[in-house]
Amino acid sequence: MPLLSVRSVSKNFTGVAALSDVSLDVEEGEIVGVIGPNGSGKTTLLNLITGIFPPSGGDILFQGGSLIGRKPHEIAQLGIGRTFQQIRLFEDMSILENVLVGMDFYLSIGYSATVLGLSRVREEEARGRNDALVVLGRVRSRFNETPGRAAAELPYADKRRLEIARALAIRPKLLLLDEPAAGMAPQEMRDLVADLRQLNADGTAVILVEHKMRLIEGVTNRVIVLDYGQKIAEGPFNTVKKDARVVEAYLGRGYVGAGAAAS
Amino acid sequence: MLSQQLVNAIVLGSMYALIAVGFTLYFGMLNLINLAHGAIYMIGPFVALSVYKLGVGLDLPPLMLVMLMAAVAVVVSGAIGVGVERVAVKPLRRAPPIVFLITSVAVYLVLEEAVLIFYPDGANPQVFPDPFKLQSFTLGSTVIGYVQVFLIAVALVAIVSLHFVITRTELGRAIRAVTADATGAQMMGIDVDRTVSRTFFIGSGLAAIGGILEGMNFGSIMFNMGFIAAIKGFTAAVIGGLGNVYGALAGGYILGLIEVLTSGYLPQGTAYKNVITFGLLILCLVFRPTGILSRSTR
Amino acid sequence: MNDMSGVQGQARTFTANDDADIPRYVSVVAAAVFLVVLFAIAIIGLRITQTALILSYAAGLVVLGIGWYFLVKRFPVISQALMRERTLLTAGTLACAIAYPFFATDPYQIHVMALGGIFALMGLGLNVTIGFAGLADFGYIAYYAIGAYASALFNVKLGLPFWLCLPLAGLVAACLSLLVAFPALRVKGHYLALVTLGFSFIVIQMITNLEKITGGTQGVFGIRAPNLFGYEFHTPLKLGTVTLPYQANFYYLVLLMLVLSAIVCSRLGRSRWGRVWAAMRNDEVATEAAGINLMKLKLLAFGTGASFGGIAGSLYAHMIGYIDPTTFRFIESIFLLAVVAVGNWRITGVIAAAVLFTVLPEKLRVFNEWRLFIFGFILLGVMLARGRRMISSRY
Repeated sequence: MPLLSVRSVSKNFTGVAALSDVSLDVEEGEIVGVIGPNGSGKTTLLNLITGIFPPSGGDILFQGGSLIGRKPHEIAQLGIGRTFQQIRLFEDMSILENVLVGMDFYLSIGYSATVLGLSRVREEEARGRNDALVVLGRVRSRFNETPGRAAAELPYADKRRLEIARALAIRPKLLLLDEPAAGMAPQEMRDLVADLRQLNADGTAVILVEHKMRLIEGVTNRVIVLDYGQKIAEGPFNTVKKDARVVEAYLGRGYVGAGAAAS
Repeated sequence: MLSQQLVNAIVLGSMYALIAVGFTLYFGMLNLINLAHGAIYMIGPFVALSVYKLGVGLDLPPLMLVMLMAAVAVVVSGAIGVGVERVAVKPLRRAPPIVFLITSVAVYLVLEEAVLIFYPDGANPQVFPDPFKLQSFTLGSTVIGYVQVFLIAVALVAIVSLHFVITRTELGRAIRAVTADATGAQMMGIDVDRTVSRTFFIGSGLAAIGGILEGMNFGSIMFNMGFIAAIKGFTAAVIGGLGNVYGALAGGYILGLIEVLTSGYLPQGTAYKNVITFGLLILCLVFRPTGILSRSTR
Repeated sequence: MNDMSGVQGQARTFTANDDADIPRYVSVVAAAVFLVVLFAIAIIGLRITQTALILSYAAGLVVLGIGWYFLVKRFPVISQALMRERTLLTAGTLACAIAYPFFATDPYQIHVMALGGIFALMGLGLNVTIGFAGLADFGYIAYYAIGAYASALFNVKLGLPFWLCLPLAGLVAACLSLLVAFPALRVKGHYLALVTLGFSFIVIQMITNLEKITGGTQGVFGIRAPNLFGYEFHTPLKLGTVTLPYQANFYYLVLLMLVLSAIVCSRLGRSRWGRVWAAMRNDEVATEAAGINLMKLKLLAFGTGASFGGIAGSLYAHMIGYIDPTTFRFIESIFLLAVVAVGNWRITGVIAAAVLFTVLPEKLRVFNEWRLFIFGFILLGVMLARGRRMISSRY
């Protein structure tokens, strides 16, 4: 049974068919890429999976159970983490606090216990902080050295990394990454590739929405290509990039046969 | 007596409709809830009353006096409205809307208290003149005051003028454009700032007329009359769909009708009429922020 | 990361540097001096009654305040030293608060401070809702009213003792807030503000309308003062050789409740709950994506904040012995919003602002008519000056 099964999913917004009949299976431990021109529905697909809005048709199964109708926080608790196209960090909070929020689900500090100031609150909080530091360690960065620094002060690439770390804190079986390499320089991207490969080795499945084909090429097992909300190709990247329809989607008609997709 | 209530409802509705227009315009153009608008509704009749006191001393003919009262009230209120826009709206253009909500409360306080403090005997209700000296006529079993007919006529004139401005003038086009898309309007060469100022003038002028309507209808005005009027006006605007001028007008009359029916036919109705208004406001905000009237013509 | 604010999510604004490079005894002395000077200023302010004196006092305060601001800017070591001794300062302030009734020359001065403490309690409650969780509650006065009436009615009609009425009042207020919260939480920002405002009006109107239960415009009278194991709160307080007027009993009760509430707020603010509230304030979508149930958080914030209001209402009712609908005015909700804003959403700031907002109008009674007018201007000024940086969430 695949970990995630997106079955013939469609999404309509007034007058616009953002997604039409898209299907995708993700097995445990796979890294699947989702590529396509701007506006092809990639982020919409992620939003459907994480429950931000319901699909207009089709079904989405995670570990055999349907996600339709579930609230976003429930879906996250089931083991799906995500990052966002526009960085959505808690800017006013520190690096450590961002991750602590990410793993809040695993903290068992009760409200009344907090109000009463019970000692176990302090112990649980300390344990949480240690766990958070461990999570930070999984992402290639110097976060562990300055966990108290405000997230807003971080350089751009580090912010993206922190977002990934925060998403990892929920101990996801599936991680949805929305353009994590946007704005990154080549060296930073190499670090990202290494991080993702390590993640994958740990058993986390990943759906990677990206425009940077180097990243897709270096990390994914296979990709699907979306264009105007429809899936037009699926397979290993090197095969897909030569597909005529994919080239046409990126470059327009007249470039078929050129043999390389946009990069 | 239903027909009697109907007449009252139309008069009440006119008041609410006129103040609601301002609310809906400010929201439609700037996404702002401007509670200070209620103070303008109150200032209009106070200015009119001052003009009246002066005019009576000068022994002016009644018709001319009434027109003078209205004209001065509209101009002064309009000017104050524009002043509020310059001082409190423009600088906070980029702030989150809730900041403006609080600011508008502050402005409301300043204006209301200013009248309380500076108007002679401001703390007490002031008698507002009825140009027809309480004369009325009977239609069947309904008693209709001359003043009520007059007020309905005034409201009609105001509404028709508004419609004319919106549909036939350049300003109206500009208002519609800025409401639909401020940036786009700017790129079309529309002076957004001037349009906004003029909108404040119009909204304030209409509110002033609404306030005068209330004064003439009930025979008295008080410094704090703007508050409940603001809530009712805003509710009317919400019912009609914020941003929709015709909706606001309709919402005003709907609210007037509901209020009259409630006080007339519900036991202890008058005590509950404000509860109903607020209840309606909450229901609309929570369930139908686009308004009960689903047409979005402007 | 250990900040004094009690509110998380302010990582940039307040990091206490416990390694300031001045010797320990210097900062201790500085803190002590600071405290004594503040206390003296407070006592003087509370004693003077002549208008001319008050005005020059107020002007002096403003000058002092501006001077202090620039002094601290120029010599940041001062604030570092004070920050390092924050435990001492807190303990010292508490000691001053306890000592205060002994310095009062008139029972009314104690009474006013007790009212200030009750207002501060409300401020802390609103701070939980709006400061911690970022929820715009513009109708806080409703919880205060409901708490006061619940406590009064439990006491007068059911004969329950004050010590039972107090927590019950908090509970009733919390339940009311949940009633408000369910519909209110479907909306955000200024819509939420209006919905909560509307609800508070309905509540107060209903209190007036349900005459049979609440006595309508007559109000509820005969609310019995607390009785602690036979000790009636209306008897003067004998402490060794000194006797304080009976108002001191209420004052200390309010002080106790205030301290407890401040501790609770501080605990919540520093905890995981304060953290996720701050996250929710910052970005709801991201917080939900992290597996956090927003509805539960919002209900907790509403309920907690409201319970403080209910308790404050109960304290008021039993202190005054009589309540009626005119006690609870809409404008108080706005005052509270101003208090929270002026107090910069910090526990200490909110308490200070609340006390100021209560005491100042008392002192400036001669300007009674002008009170709201001046308040409007000040509020306008504050909003125009700080408006853009107000509540740091995305409305």
